[in-house]
Amino acid sequence: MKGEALSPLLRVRDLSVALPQGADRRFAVEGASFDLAGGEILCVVGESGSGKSVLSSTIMGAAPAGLRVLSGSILFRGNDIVRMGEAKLRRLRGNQIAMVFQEPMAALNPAVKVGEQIEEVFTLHSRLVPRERRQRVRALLADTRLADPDRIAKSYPHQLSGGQCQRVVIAMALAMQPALLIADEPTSALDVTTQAQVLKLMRELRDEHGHAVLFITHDFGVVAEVADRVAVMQAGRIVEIGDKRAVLDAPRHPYTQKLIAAVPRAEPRPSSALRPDAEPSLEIVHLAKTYRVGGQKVTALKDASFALDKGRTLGIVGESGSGKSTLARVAIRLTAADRGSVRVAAVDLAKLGGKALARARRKMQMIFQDPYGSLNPRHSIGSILTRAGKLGGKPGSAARESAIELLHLVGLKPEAFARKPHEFSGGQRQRIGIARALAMNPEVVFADECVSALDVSVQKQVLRLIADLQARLDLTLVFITHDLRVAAQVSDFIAVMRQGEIVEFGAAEEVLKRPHHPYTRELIAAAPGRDWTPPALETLET
Amino acid sequence: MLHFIARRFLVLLATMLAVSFVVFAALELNIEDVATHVLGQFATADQRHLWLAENGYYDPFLYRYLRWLMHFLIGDWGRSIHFKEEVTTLIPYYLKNTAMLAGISLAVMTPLALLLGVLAGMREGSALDRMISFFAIATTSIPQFASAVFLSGIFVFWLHLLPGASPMTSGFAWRELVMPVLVLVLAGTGYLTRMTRASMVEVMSSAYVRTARMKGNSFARVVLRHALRNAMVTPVTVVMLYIPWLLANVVVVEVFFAYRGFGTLLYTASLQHDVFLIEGCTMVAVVAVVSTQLFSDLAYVWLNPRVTFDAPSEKTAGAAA
Amino acid sequence: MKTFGALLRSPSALFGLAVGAVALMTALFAPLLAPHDPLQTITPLALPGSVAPDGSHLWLGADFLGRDILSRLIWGTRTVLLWSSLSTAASFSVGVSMGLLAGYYGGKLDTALSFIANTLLAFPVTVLYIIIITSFGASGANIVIAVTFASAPGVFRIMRAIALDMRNRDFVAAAITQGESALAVMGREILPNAVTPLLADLCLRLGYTAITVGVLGFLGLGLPPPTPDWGGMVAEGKNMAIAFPHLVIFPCIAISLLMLAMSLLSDALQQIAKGSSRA
Repeated sequence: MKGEALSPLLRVRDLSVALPQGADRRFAVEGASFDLAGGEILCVVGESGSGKSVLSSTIMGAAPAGLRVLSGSILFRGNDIVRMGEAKLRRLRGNQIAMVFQEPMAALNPAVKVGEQIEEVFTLHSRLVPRERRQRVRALLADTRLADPDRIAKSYPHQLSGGQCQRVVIAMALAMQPALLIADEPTSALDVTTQAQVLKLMRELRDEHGHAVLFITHDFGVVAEVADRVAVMQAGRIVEIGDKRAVLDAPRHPYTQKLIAAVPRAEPRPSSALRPDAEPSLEIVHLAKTYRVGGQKVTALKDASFALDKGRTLGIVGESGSGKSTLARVAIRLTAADRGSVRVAAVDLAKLGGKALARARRKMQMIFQDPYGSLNPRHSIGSILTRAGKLGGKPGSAARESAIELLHLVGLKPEAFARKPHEFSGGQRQRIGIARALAMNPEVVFADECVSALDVSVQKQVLRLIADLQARLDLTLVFITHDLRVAAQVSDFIAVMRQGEIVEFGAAEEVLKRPHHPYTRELIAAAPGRDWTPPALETLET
Repeated sequence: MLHFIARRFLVLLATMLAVSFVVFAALELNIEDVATHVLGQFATADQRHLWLAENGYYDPFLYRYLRWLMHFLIGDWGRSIHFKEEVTTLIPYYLKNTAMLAGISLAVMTPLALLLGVLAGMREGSALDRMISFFAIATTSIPQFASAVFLSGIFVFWLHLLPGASPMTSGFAWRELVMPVLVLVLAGTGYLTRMTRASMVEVMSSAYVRTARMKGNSFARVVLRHALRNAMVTPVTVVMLYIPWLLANVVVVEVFFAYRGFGTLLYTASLQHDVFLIEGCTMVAVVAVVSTQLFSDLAYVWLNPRVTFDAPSEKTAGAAA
Repeated sequence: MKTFGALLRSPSALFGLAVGAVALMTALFAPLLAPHDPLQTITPLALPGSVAPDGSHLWLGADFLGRDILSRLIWGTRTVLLWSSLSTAASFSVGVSMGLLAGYYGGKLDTALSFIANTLLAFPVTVLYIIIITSFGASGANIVIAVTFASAPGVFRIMRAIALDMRNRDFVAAAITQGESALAVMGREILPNAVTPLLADLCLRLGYTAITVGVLGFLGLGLPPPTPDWGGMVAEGKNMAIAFPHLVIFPCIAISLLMLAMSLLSDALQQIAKGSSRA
């Protein structure tokens, strides 16, 4: 106890967590050592599978099932969590160490009012009487800047928005004024404007209460926004740790350099010269779609119109529910439009049906968001691509040959031909999805959030591949994304959507540098880490 | 909410109407058969013809159906050929006996199955879980006539504890109820246990249970306070659906133990080709099934605040989401 | 093939497969395996292990008509398996095709088909059997019809739910945008993904149908008498079971074992289906 004043709040030493046998590596976390001082925000950043989430739950004394701590120690105020009994851990959790999770809606019990869920923390860790508890709940909700805390306290989680739920979860975590808050990707499931508010809130609360935060994230923009210090994890190891400025602006470890180099810049790409002879390749005119949900009409798409020249890229940007995916699905006629027309190379698809539609729609292909869901798990890659070729009008042997060519084109080995989708990584599957779209020889390609499920380094490769193919095949591209930085990288034009409406449309440079609509300004301001310009590290890239 | 109930109720009425048509068509489309069943095998063709003419059987089929339906609605269900009594007086007596048998079985089965299901599901893959799961599969696998044989072998012939039949000829006897209840409970508990277990497993792996753990709750408190309420939604709605299950399954049990209930009545009616009694029994059974389905849907909506009232109730889909 | 490999790794599935295989062999080779003619009276009622007048052993005894119980049990396997697989096959052809159409097309077609299914589901199953068998008479073909009416709506609902789910998957969307025909989307994209869950249901239904054939036999609504049939054997021996339990106990064990095997197999398949949908 004597050394407590000197030792930091949290001291992790040589921590190794073993994965079950048969996993792709032996350790989820390997030899991790770091200190966290009171009041400090340490961001642990890494790609999927880097072990950052296992690290956070191990510090809570709750390593995921099947994983066990092999060696090392986690000293919290001098007590080793690794060797702590269940009863002692329970007194710590929610009391001195609290946690905030990724999916705020799922993290709250759907059958219990949120006020009662916060109150439970006091029931567990304090001797407050019910009236005092309720007062504290109210104060906590007000503390997290929730308007009308009394109403919120009486609500069930499904009656609140994702951002409100995350504030409730934060209020619950801070109930006992813990010394350490562990936040595991707390804003990844939120829209960008909500994310900005929650990040701001988390910093402010830290300033008010002085607790330390261990913040797990995959997003360097978020790191730039909230961190004091940064630890970078790769395959279970902490490869670099240091002050935020040092790590972000002058990364020393090659892996950190590679990650930062892959972060998309918010700078618009130089727009290529317009070709005066260009014909519009895609024309969308007064397209509208209304859904009926529970007797109520929901306008998913309101009178969208634009034209796009051959070989150009339009980025469609918007938050969830803005109608950007509906626009794509209606345009390629996966869903019938209420009104409006879609013309591809001057052919109006809305007027076609049956065989003619089946033929014409091949001119317009889609690359889907979820690389896991967009390939039929029952078919081999070869059979998927060959089938696409046959549908595109090629005879059997030619379809097979072109399938192998396509694999080569998207950077996959010919061995991939006989394999099933589950044998590939997310990035590779997305390449297969691209190959399938190209097998039809399309004129226009819609890409719906096609890189948002990918890690940042893979994301960069896939974006490069798409740009490459577009230039080579003179494709017209409609690129749908929630991420302004990605849109900036790929687009000639940008359309901003909100509540089913295109609120702003223009050349990418115009929209990003001189936004007209207030919502566009809000979006740009909310992009995490916009004050940080990643250093130019292109030369170090592998 | 009201809109939802009204819509479900309309669907219920439509189903009933369709069912009544199917039943009528199956049993009375062939009028020669009806006459044979009513008058017996030894009636002459002329007698049958006369009877058919007298009772309006030569009217068009649709007209006959509508007339039958009207009579049915005002409570004129015809006379049983075999029992020589009004169908409407026969059914309530037998139904009451079955209600008692089914009610006691449900009262034993439900708490037992919920308890076993929760115990198995709270720690997926534990020894207790595997034991209970196997027990559940094994008991549901034994057909009731077989478990009636096995249980009779043990309790009646070997241990001489209970009577082997339950006709209740000399008044009501508790001892005679035990065997039929036992057979029904053995057959029914397994399925409900497995449903409860599956629901519990899903809830225990949910994010909010993890949140509850990370708040400092003990395992017992997590199970009791956070998991149970959510895990009970599906099984409680399934319990309702046991009423039709029991109605279908009492036939074997009642016949085996000669218990004078709804199942025996229907069975006797079918052996005797007692057309009007079969119609009456079937309609009663269908009303019971359809209304329990409605109650089950309502219970699901009531227990699960997230369900939108207008969404078509797809239990499996709702539970999975 | 992957599914089959996973089955071989589960002990309970192996048990199910083994029992199923033994039952199938018994049914196929009944004439070779049965020591006696199942319909021929060879002795007065005899206890298990007695010796027939012709000197042969009656391992499981003889029934009240003096027929060898073991032989009836063996031939009964053929009856039970034949009619339950025919009935299940019929239920699946109807249920799967209707479910695919309803789930894929949705709209009015779905409403109509679902209404028919729900109407049939409104009958307690035994009631449905009783009505159908009373109106059409007791025969093998009518058992198939009755089971199809009772069982197809269940299969329909499973297939429809899968098709509804798959319809919103991106790989189906991809197939549609490539101009794949509706039939090809259903056959190539949706159906292959329904195989494992359908197989799980198939096993369970095969078992339940075997029980149904037994129950109908037990109630006297099944195949007409001298046919050797497990349920019928129980029905015939029920009244003498107090004195001679061997009359009923063996067919009961046989059908319980078969059902247990099918349940375990189905359970294992469901686990596999769940596992692959998670991955």
